[in-house]
Amino acid sequence: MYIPIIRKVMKTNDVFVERTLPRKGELVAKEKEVVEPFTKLGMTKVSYGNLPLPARLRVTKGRAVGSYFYTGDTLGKIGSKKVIAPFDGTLIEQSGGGFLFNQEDRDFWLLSGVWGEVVSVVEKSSALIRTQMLDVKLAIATDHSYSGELIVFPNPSELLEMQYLQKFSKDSFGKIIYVGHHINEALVKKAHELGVAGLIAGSVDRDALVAAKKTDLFVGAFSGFGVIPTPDYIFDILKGVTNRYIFLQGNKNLLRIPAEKPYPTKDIRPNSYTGQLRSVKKGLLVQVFEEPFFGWTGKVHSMQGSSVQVIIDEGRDPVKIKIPSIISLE
Amino acid sequence: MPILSIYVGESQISVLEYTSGADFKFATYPYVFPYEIYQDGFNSEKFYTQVLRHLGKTEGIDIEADPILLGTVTGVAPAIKHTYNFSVHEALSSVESYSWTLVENFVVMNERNMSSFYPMKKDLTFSQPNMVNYLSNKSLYPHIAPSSPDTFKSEDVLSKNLSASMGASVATEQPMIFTGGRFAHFDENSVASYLLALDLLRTPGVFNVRIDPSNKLPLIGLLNTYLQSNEASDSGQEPADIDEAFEDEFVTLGTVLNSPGGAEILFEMEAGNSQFVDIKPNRLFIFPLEKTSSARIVVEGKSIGHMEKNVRGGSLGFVIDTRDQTASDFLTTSSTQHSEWVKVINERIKAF
Repeated sequence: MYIPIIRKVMKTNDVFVERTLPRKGELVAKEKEVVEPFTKLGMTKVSYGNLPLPARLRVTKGRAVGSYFYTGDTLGKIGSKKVIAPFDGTLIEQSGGGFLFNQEDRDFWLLSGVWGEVVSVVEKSSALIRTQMLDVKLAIATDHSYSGELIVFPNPSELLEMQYLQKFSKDSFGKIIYVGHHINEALVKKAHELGVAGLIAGSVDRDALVAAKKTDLFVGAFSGFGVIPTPDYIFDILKGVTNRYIFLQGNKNLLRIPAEKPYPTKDIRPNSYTGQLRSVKKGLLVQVFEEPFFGWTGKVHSMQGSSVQVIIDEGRDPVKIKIPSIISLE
Repeated sequence: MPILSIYVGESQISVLEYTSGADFKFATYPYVFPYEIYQDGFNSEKFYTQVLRHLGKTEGIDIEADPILLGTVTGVAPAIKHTYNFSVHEALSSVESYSWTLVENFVVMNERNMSSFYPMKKDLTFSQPNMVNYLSNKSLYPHIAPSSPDTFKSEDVLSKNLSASMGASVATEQPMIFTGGRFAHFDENSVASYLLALDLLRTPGVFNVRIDPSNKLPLIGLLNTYLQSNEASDSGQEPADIDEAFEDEFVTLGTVLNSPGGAEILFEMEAGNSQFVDIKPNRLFIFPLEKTSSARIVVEGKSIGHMEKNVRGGSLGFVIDTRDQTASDFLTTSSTQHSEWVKVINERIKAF
């Protein structure tokens, strides 16, 4: 039997990344310059963080709208919950209701984020870099596109995900966080509150995706909706991101990890790649769609008529999955 | 040269190679191109080319047949080489001997109406998160087959809801047949499939009901549409008796008396014995009646009035359905009540 293939991981050369200053400033990058992730391309002054707060925020006594707060100061309370300033900045009132806590203008150094070569520059504004990426396909993603530092949680249980997020709250502003196997609505709300740029996981509740779409928070999942673990080989890739800097391209459902050197031609699948079906064989990596392992990843153990025996957990007995409830993963 | 019919449904692809009423071959590939999940470098043209080659190699289907008839749910042809392209509605409507209802992943249609709901394009409003997650996954991976009572229920609640928004089905003397990708999973859970068919039959009356358990009717419809056309007669193709050639391809459920609100029935068997039953509202009751047997019924029903009919049996028999069939009932049916109906059908199947 031949089954469809879904390519989760792809090596891609000749990726063009435009790195742009958030506001016009001084661009120091030059054409044909070879860059590394921490190469400085340019600088400007910018408040690159803000924290929206609801109108029911009760500002700390003795402080008012327009006050300056240091990192760790109490901005006020929402109900009985204290709101702590995640950075130095000023609290302002928004015209549409509610407040915005704006980070103080600081030097913003635009880093390359990738290994590659500057192809062209737009004076005082941006640089276009030719690079190479390891692309990981997300099954689901919101439309946002961001780049930033990746924090990888060690697949905590669903009950502990929120605690991990809170533990990292001081450092999570503007970061992209791999939270574990599952994203629920409460986690989306908390991440948005903390100013996290993106959440990624093995799976996401549909309600959580709907909630994320109403905000500027990126949410992406590798396997599907509900509670589905992240495939081990994807988690291993995330753990191994050497410079901790990644790109999220929501409109293409891609998580892009910069690679140090161009890939050999033999590792690159051309666009004319035609192998879209594959014969089911022992050892084939598959995603299964039958309860109680809906969405899980495993390896084919053997074929029995129209059923396939799949090893979900190494060391445990294989489980019987009926075709068409499997697809091949790459 | 044989004629090849290809039906690309929302969850699977089925094909029919037809040479004559005595020489034909069906095959199915249980996947479709997953548009939501594929990425650059993969395209539907290559996917379907490979699928057809696979069917040619493994099932002996002649993929170079002429003509090639292509049917799809929307009528918009995917990138598959074909001679003529029809919407599945057009194809099914050409099968005059049946009144039909097609159920695909996110579409329900009959002769008069169509209703669809694509979960990734709108927010689902069902209150059960598992159901919402399952249906959303089905958008990403359209081939997913229901594999547990809960997943059958998730799919069927959506289909019933879509059907309810279409209004009553067509009242007809012709046998009513249920087809499409959903009923291609008949063998995995025949009880859920029977119950779905009964739930979708929303018009009061007496119906001879069949189920297409292998998604064959759309292919027969495509063939029929072509054979009735001028192109076929111009090319020397003889019109064929399609109904006779394919009548054994379907499961005959039996006869359904749909009488919301209750009914009194006098049931007279061929052997001469008779039985009177008074079925209260909101009940499902089944008389055992084999496919080859027939009986005469005299009915006084709250919603259908007085009626006398000859009825035939089937794999379920003679079904009396007095359940309320308003849209809200499908979504608010308690699991106890649902389990009771499942039990009635299950017991009848076991008795056979």
